[in-house]
Amino acid sequence: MKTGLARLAKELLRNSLRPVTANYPAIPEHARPHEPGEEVRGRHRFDVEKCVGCGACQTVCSSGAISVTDSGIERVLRIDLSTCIFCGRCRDICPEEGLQLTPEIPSAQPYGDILKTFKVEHSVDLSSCVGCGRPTYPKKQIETVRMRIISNLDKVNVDSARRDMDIYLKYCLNCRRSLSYIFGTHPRKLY
Amino acid sequence: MNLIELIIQATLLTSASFILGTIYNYEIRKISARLQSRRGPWLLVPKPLRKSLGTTRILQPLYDIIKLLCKETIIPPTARRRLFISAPLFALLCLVASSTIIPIGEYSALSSFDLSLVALLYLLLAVPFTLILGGSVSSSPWGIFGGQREADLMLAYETPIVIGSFTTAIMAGSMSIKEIQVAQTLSLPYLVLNPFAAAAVLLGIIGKLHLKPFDIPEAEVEIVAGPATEYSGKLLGLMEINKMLLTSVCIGLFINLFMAGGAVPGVTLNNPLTVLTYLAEGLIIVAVASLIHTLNPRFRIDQALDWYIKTAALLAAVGLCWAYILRYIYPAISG
Amino acid sequence: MKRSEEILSGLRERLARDLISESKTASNIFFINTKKERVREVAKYLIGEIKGRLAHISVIDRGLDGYEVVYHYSLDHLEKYLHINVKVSLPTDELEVESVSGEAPESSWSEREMMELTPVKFTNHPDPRHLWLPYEWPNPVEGEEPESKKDKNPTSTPIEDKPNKPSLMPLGPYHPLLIEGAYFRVKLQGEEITDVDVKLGWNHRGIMKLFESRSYSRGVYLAERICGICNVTHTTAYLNAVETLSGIDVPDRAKYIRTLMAELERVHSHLLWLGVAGDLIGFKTLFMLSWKIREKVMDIFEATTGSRRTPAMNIIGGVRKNLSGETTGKIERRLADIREDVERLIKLGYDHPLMRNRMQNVGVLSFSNAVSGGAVGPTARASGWRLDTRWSTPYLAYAEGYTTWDIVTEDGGDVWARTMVRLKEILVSIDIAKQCLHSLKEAGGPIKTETVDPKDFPYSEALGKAEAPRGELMYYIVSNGTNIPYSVRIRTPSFRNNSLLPKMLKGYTLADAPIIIGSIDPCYSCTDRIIVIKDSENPKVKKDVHEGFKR
Repeated sequence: MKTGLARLAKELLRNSLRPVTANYPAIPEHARPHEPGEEVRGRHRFDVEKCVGCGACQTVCSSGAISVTDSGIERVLRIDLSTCIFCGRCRDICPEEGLQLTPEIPSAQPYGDILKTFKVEHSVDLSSCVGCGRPTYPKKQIETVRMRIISNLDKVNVDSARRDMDIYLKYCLNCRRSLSYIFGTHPRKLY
Repeated sequence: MNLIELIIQATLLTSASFILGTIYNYEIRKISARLQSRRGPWLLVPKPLRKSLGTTRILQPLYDIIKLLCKETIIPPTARRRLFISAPLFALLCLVASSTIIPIGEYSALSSFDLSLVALLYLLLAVPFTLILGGSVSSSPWGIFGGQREADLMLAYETPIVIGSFTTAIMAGSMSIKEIQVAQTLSLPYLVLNPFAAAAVLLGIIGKLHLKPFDIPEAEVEIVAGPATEYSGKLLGLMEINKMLLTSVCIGLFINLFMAGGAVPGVTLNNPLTVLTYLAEGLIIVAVASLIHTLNPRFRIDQALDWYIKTAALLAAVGLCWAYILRYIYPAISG
Repeated sequence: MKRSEEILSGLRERLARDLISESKTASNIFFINTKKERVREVAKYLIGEIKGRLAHISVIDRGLDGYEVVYHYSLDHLEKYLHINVKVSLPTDELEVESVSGEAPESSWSEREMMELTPVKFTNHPDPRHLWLPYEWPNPVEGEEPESKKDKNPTSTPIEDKPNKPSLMPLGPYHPLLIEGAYFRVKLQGEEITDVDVKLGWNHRGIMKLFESRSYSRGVYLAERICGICNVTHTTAYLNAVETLSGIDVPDRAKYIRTLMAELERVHSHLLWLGVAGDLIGFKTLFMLSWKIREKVMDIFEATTGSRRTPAMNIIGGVRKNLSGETTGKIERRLADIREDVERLIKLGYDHPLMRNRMQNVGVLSFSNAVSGGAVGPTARASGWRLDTRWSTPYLAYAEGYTTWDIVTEDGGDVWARTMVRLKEILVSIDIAKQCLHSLKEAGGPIKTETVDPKDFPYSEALGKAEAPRGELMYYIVSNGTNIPYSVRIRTPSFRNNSLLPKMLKGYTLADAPIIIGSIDPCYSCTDRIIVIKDSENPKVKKDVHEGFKR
């Protein structure tokens, strides 16, 4: 029975020379703290080039941390990191790979700093309707949709599609409805 | 020496005792941390933090006490107020008195009177009583439980300490700590001559200081904090001061009774260097105690009593018989 | 004749004309409708004669049709996958049914829970007190006097001078022994425990209600966050139910990855438990040693899935991320390291004299008590009962053709046996994980099926089970054809094991209470999930009740 104690004592004495915790801020090599790997789901980062402002991330957010607000000709996407549960669904569903999760984990700070640092924001420009002047969709989203439709249709339909998109994508939904007689898209006019 | 010198030396001895107790408690924390693969409080603070934290944190237990003394004291309204407050004060009184009896090297305020060993053991016996009293009047069931357990444990650990100490008195032929110290310089230290009594007293001291496996009255997973549950703020700081003094007094008792009070070959008792050897020997004993403290879980109270009777009290009895046998074999020890 | 055929024909014989309908959902899962007068007979047959288990009793609100009481009988230790669910419909004006706790003592807590959440009343119940709600709230069953009025000082009596009179000690709801809140009222005589009353409910978050307002795919993330230690198991059980409901078949590679995650989680959970058990007997060194090994397991999780806990790998139809060949190699090397460390730790603990002193012959749960009380998980296996959901209802890659492994049992039923069961299970789990990694290297294929359409959820119900590190976890999902579940009922393993605590604690001292409570691995986050009650009266706490609590 006593051999158990002796073995434990030997194990502990071996431990005493190599502690597992780090001597912050002077960190020796063998006790270097663990850097989070690249897979870690931390603070979000909007890719300025790729994000089109479609708001798909808001529809799948598990906890309602992403909010999309339109004001004037600007759409602001804001992620509240204190509500976010870092599940990664927003990154998975983004069609343009415009939202990434970096390995930086938002850590504890004084309350005043938290109000400033615990949010991630991104704004895109909205295009306005040629008819009534109200803001419609983000400019980049319209452009991306147009490019994708053109590149996916076969040659026969590309020209007519391009012509239609040149007219319709400039108007908002309400104007398209009220101008449908002129455009020739009203259902009754087809008969 | 006259009265003024006595008072000055007593004050210096008590403060030195308190600082020594702080260093011993720091050592327990540091060694048990290192054995568990973590670091304890810093012995040498890393350079970038030296401005705010100082060069060393060896007095960390003292800073904890100062923090406690600055906090608000809450006394439960159904507790008996006067006894609640005076229990730790009485313990402080006893411990200050006992620290003047323990000599450090040649500086001994009061240890040279005739029955100083008896007086010391008597004063040390009062300390667990105040703990039991403080727990019982604090109107908390945890306090009563802690008091019960402390009473049970006290019966267990006082026996080897008392028998072992009286064994050294028998071997030296006097009940005065100073004379026991001097008698060891004439023959071998009693740690070598009578290791049984030394082991018994060491095991008793581990129980008295509430180190594992005997920290039963303070078991936080079972009875929250035992007798100290309802104490907070300044009174809790007072209890911590008592703990420091108790550590230093008990370790000092062991060194003086068994290790010739710091005298080693080459450093006689009159040399001021005995203070350093005293400190070194104290650190070694505390290192052994903290190894035992880290290796073990806690005993249950009935298992602790069982173990004490079977091991420590038996060792003390054997030590006592061995002392008598030694008188016939090694007559240099005065009878 | 197969066992299930025998049992069903026996049931049909006894019920004769009262058997209203019978249906079969997945393989060997049967639903039987009958009249409410026959519930006791059914219980006597299935528990007394056939020696089955009553896993849970759920009560579903069917609106105008009244309430439906479903008795989930688990007979999978007799034949694989066999479950018989007996349903009883209660019309709105007659919400009473007789209690079966005479025949099946394990049902008493399930009935207490359902009596608090719904207006259904189980008559002749031996102990109809509150389980989750505070004692001071009026009893929603009958509008009776609040329980605390009958017992003036329910939490603590003033300190008695006579040493022989038993005293009442409150262990909790705020105590250093418990990681979460629970309340054990312990009657003591000196230091010996004579009786224990368990009360839970301090950690409720309204999870069953939250499930009913979220779609199935969002529900996965909610299920993950019910418990901090057994995340993967909750998602596995939930997805077992959802995938049975919609008839999805998970591809093989996804099965192996899910099993790997579940087994790594079992290793981490048992190491965590070992540290906590060491802390409860005062052995802080064991705490540090075992959590040091656990850090290596968390590193594996972080490197492959993205976070140490809540790995969020399981989605409906498969897993989210694939594991490359390089990653599987790294995990294998790490697992070999961990296995060495765990074996060394087991040897150290086995030989330590004081640890055995504290843990042996303490908190003994006999085999008959375990069977009648419905113990699950390592608590049951340490009393000699070969009960494991991975064996009886093989899901994912635990079935015969995928991996080979064996159940770990011990005799004795004391705390030491439970410790040994858990330690040996770590080694078995590492073994299963290694087999999964080996198969992953060879098997290719997709990691998830196509996306799930809301039209794929028919109007029916499903039962999903998984083996959490603490025992058998069961989800019962009722769907109404939309993509939001109609009702979700969860039966966690700690719910069963906690009801056995009074039997385990009687006769031992107060110093043994922490380690006995800790040895069933209580996870109160899993256990407390109630919804707010339907009581319309103002449940303000009355003033005079507080006066008894002044100290």
